[in-house]
This record gives sequence, C-alpha cells and structure tokens, in this order.
Amino acid sequence: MKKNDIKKGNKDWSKKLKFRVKNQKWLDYSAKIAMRIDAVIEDKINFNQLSLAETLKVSPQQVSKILKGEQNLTLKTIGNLSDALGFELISFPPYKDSYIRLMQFEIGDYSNNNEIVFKSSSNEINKNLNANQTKETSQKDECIVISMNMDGRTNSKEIAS
Amino acid sequence: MKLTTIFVDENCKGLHSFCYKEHDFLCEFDRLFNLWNNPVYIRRYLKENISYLQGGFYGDITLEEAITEVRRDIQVMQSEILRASINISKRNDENLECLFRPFHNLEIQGKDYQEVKYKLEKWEYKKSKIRLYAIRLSQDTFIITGGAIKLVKLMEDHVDTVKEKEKLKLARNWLKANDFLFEDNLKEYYEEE
Repeated sequence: MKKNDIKKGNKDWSKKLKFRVKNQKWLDYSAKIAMRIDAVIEDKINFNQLSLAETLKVSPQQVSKILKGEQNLTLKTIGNLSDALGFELISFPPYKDSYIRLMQFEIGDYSNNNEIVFKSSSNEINKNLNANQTKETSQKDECIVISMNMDGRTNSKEIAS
Repeated sequence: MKLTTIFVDENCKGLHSFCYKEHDFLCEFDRLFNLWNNPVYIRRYLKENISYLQGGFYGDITLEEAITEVRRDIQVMQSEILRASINISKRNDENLECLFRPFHNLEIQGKDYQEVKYKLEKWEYKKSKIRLYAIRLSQDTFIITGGAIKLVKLMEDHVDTVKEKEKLKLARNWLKANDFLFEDNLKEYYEEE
C-alpha cells in the first residue's frame, strides 16, 4: 500500500456507507420486500429462487439481487413478483376515505340483499369499530350478527333486535 | 492475518480492520456490514437462532420485531461510524473514543492492546443486538477484529460469540508479537505492504 492510500483510507467503504445512510428509507422498503419473498418461497412446496426467476422470465442473478434488498424496485416489478408468488408483497394501511361509508341504514330496514341493518349513521358505526374491522350484517333468527375482524382475530357479537 | 485501513488521518489514527485468510483476506469490517445489510441473511440467521431469541434475554418479541430491531441497530451504527470518520482525533462526543467501550465491563479505558466493543445504548428500552469488536491500539486508533449479532447475555452461551472472543484474543496476541504498539507501527506496516 502506498503512502497516499493510507491518507485516503477505504473509499469503497465510505461510498457504500454514505449510500446506505442517504437512501435508508427506500432501502428499508426493498429489504422488507426481500424478506417477505424469502418467507413466501420458504413456505411453497417445490418452489425456490430459480422457479421464481423462471416464472418471472428473468435471470436467477436478478432474483438474487432483489433478495439482497438493495434494488430500487419499480411498481411493475413488485406487481410481477406478487403475481409470481401468489402473494401481495405490499399493502396500504386504511386511511380516512377507507372509513367513509356512502350509505346510511335504519334498523329494521332491509337492504337489497334482504339483510337486516342498523339504525345508525356511518360515522357512529365507524366510531365504534376499530380501523381494521370489517363489518357484515346478516339476518339470523331475531338477531343482528356483527362479525368483527380485529387484528386477525374474529369475534362475533349478537344483539337482540 | 492482515490489516487494512477503513478511515485514517495522515498519522494513521482512525479505524483499521483485520482481514482473515478464512474469508480470502476480505476486510472484516466491510464483510460484516455487507452481511448485516443483507436482509435475507438477517432473517435466516435470526430464524435459525430463534431458540436463543426465545430465551427471554430480549423480552417477548416476534421474529419480525427482532429483524426490525437488528436492522435499526445496523442503520444507526452506520450513521455513527460515518460521523466518527469525519471526527478523527477531534475532541467531541462523535469520535471513535466515544463509540468503543472496554470489552470487559469493569475495565478502565486505556490499557495496552485493550479489547473493546462497540454497541449502541438502549433505545426505547430495547437492548442493542449488534456488536463490533476491536483492539484499541492507542488514542483514536482502533482495529476491528470482528462482530456479531449477540442473542445471549454471556458470550460463552453462543458459538458465534465464543468465536469472536477467540478472535479478539488472537488479534491481541498477533499485534503484540508483531510489536504494534502505536499508530506509527501501522504506518510502517502499510508502507511496507
């Protein structure tokens, strides 16, 4: 090593590190996608990185690069990967529009599907149910059944009509 | 064993790293950060060692939470090291002296060929899982010997941390045997290489 090299130090390291610090946000997204791909491949029978490359019609090296988590993936690539794996790699958390219901019902009314429904404004219903809940109403004898899906757990609550 | 510079000033003060034959003399520091920045490696490593994670040392966490914490540690460490690289020999709280602590918790900083470690302080009550190990040659001069994702309280409790402890000892003996006592010796070494 020459004297000048000592002064400079390992420039490659410095470049790599600056890149990682500067691009942390999207690198994090890329890493999360890579880890999810790895987990999905792991669960699939007779499916590996090579099969993924074949399904995507790309080289195995390309898949290997994606799994390193340092690729700035396009939305098209993410879509193709999701299709190839049969698994949605990205999803969007609910935001305000997700909670605005466009129809209001009265208790005792029947919707078009002959389902019995609440007397409540959509705002009130939404206030009482958490963000991630999905709600269904259906007629069951003399009760209204509300199915709630809270963080992956399913609860049901019966209210006498 | 070989040595290489990571970032140093004109007097050779700064961060150096060992390069080991078993890894084709790749810079150990570079090798570790390349590995730790590979998300699939992190996921698989933690999954393989899930029994250690479930041992309770890091609390009741999921695999995904452990991955997030490890990756967060790596990102913060990279930023701190980058800051230290522009603060060599400066007397502030962002230099190398502030990053490394004696390897043995009760030891006082400043012994010859001192074994040191770099770990992040607790963050939101979460213990840092990443460690970098080094030998402190003199003030502001450190030589990386290795690093580990530490999943257990005692280094003796996991094969990887046992190995890191051995590497520290070997590195210390090698530096002693080759009369590296100050950064000047490193300068001579690089000029001869």
